[in-house]
Amino acid sequence: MRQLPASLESPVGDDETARRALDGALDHIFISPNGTALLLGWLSDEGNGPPVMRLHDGGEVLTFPPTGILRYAREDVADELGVDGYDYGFVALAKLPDGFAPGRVRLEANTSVSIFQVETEPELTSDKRLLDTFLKAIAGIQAHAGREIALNAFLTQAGGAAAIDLFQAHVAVSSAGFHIERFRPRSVARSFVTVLFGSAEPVMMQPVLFRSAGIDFGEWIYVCNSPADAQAALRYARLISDLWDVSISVILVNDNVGFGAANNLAVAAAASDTIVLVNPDVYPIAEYAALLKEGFVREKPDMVLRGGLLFYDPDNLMHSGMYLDDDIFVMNHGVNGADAVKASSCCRLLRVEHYDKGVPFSPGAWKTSMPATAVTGAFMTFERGAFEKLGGFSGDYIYGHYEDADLCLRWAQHNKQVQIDPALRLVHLEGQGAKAHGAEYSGAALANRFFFTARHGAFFEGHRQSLGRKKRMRELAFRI
Amino acid sequence: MRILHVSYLHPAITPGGAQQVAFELFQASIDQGHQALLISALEIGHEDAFGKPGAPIVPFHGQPNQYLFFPQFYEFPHLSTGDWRSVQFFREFVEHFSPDIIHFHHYHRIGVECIRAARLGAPHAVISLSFHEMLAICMADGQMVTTKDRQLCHAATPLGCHLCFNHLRPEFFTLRMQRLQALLDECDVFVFPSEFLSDRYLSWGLSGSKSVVIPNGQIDLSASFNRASHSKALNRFGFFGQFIDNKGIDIVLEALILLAREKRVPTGGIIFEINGSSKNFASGVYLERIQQLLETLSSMENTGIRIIDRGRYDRHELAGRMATVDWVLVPSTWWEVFGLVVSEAWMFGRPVIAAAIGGLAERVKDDVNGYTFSPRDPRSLADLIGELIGNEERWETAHAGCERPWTHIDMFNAHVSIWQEIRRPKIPPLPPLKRQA
Repeated sequence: MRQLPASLESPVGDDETARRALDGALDHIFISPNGTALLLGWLSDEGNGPPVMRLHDGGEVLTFPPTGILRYAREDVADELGVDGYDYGFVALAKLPDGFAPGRVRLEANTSVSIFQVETEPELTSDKRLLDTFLKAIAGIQAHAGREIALNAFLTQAGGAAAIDLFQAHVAVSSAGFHIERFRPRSVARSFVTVLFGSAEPVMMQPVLFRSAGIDFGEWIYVCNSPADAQAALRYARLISDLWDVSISVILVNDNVGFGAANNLAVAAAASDTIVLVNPDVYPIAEYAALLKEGFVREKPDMVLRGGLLFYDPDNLMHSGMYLDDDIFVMNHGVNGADAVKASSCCRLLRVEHYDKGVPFSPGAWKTSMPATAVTGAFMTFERGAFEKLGGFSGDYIYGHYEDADLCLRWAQHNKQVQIDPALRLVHLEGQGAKAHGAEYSGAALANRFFFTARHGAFFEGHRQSLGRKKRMRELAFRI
Repeated sequence: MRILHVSYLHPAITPGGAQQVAFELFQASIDQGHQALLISALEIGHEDAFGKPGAPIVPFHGQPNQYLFFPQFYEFPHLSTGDWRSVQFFREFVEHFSPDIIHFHHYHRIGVECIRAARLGAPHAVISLSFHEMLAICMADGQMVTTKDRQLCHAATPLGCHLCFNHLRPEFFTLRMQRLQALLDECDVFVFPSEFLSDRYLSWGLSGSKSVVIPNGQIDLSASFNRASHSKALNRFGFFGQFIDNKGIDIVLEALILLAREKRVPTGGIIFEINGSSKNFASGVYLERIQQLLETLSSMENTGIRIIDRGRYDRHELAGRMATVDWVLVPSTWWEVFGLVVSEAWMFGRPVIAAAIGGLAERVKDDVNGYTFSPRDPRSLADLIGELIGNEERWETAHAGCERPWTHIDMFNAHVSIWQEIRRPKIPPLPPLKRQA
């Protein structure tokens, strides 16, 4: 006899005798302190229409909104059932109603003709662990209709909203009562801000190399997003501060609050109003150090968000700003019900692209500042007031990715221009600064793309000419 | 003058060329009537025997004017002491002594940050740094020998270094280099024992205007030694130094096997004496290889070759060890940057047979003060031994060219002349040593 997956539970349901019993399994159910429930499992409901899923605690009932349930391909189940072409797997994410007791719970999944029921004890876990489990789950999924099609309805509606809510709850808890240690504090002209994750090494590298290049960074604020590195960050900060008489502050949070929230904390704590965000893998280039120094001290308009020219090495650009583009995803073959077909026959996702990616640098093309749709959060400088007027980085992006482009789009609409200042030339050793290599970070980046599109997709559609690559082309044409 | 010498290790605890030179330069400072102190940074493993609870710097018990330094949180990839407390104690020590000269002999284990701390502790002092290897250039123990296949490396590049250390991206090595250069630049003078080493560091990026070549000197131990003595057969060869992978004892054994196989060992035979220390730092693979070669030799009948492992030696035993050899072999397979053993051989009038590599090639000249063979080439060495063995004329030629090497006083005087040339520019006020609240 074939073995179904080990997690297969026999359906129960004395009061549902009219309906056929539905094969399925609830592999995991997690509940976290902010009241979010994450369910992972599968249902053999092919041909039955989308199921209605309810979670009972004996009194309260959570009915999962349809867009809070993601269906995806489970090869293991398909192999066992011997039927392919159907998305058996499910990921369900939703906030529990007030008063829901996370004791023994009962899950019902009803279709028009069948029912799956199971009783179990939820695994109680932290908001962070539940979030990471969710992100890992979506990072690698495939669906017969197409991955993006399946994710689109889920992440841009109820599922995504629950994930953002969960992340924000995690951020609130992790940053509440954060600690700031200031070494040699003083009045400064500018504040460099760097978010650390996975390594404190940049604290011993960046201030030394910027100082050695003759750059007065004013103060350097490091936000340590990985508690495991906190002690080393403090040690290095004090050492470097003592040796070069420079002001370095370290902000310690309880867990990874992501790029946006970490920067927001640092900007609020800055001793100056001129903020320079610098990734831990951004460094000065000896050949351009004098120009960079000049770029920092030059008078600049208050309301302009400036980025720089980022290089792979002194001769080759990494990029010269960002613009928007989009990708279209069309529905593949899928049999998970007619409604799904109607809802998402295709979807568009915004993509943040880079001007001059990896091209040899042509100094002649960069005599003055040039507008850009967006500049990378790896290096940007602005006045604090203008940043805070926008509410800083949005908290709607999990961990990292897309919050910089989001800020720039809001900046352009509410403040003034976003520019690339050609004096600000730095090398960006992309991906070297943070050690965010887990599947949860891939999942977060994936989800953020949907969040970004949900927020700015319509605006992009209406301003495709001015937000896309052609903007730079027009600017260049005008100059020639 | 008040001179602070800073070294990696101490020769009384761990014998080795760099620490010996550092100690003798310190000794020369004292001998010449200066006020001098020596701080030796030790390894973590030495703390139990020589450390004191809570003290990064402690007096070396029974050794006047000498101190031991135990930096915490040392990070080898960056040659960095990532601990403010260790560095602060070092700075306070410098402040307290208020030296005119601070001479570093290394940066490994000391941490490059201590150079900056020295500057803060004594802003008026001249800071000089002697290089003894290529650690700043090469993370593979400063040897510039590739980690994968033990090939000689001619220049550190981000890609080349990544190939030796796959877990680190090429960009890491660029940053490492830039940071080290920034920190080393705090020195007023860079002292190299050979043009070879100077060239390597200048190519790497150090300032040529700060660089000077001063050969290492040594205390002369040959006062009552008959430098002209040798055996009649001129068939006694000696190895002196560390019994470690890159010193080339395997090359000598392979050469001897070739001579034995080809029946080129003279009737008087060949004696090869190994005076090797620090065997514990040799790799297991290397020791196994040596064992295999020895077994191969012993399995051959009537070779006439005799291998004598005389083990490590103290300085005072050197004359005795040199007396039993006619030639000194220096078969190093890495870029030997100076070759202190060459100086030791010349001190006792022993001609040197050296691999033509690095500082050895610079110092040992064929038919002038010794003989050279192709590095890492047992055939080349075997042929050379075949030519030289029993050849009194060639021994005398090289012997006559064995100039007495610089003594520690010569070396010290050369340093003094450089230090005196440096006029520290007027220094802006430096930050006070603040204690955190």
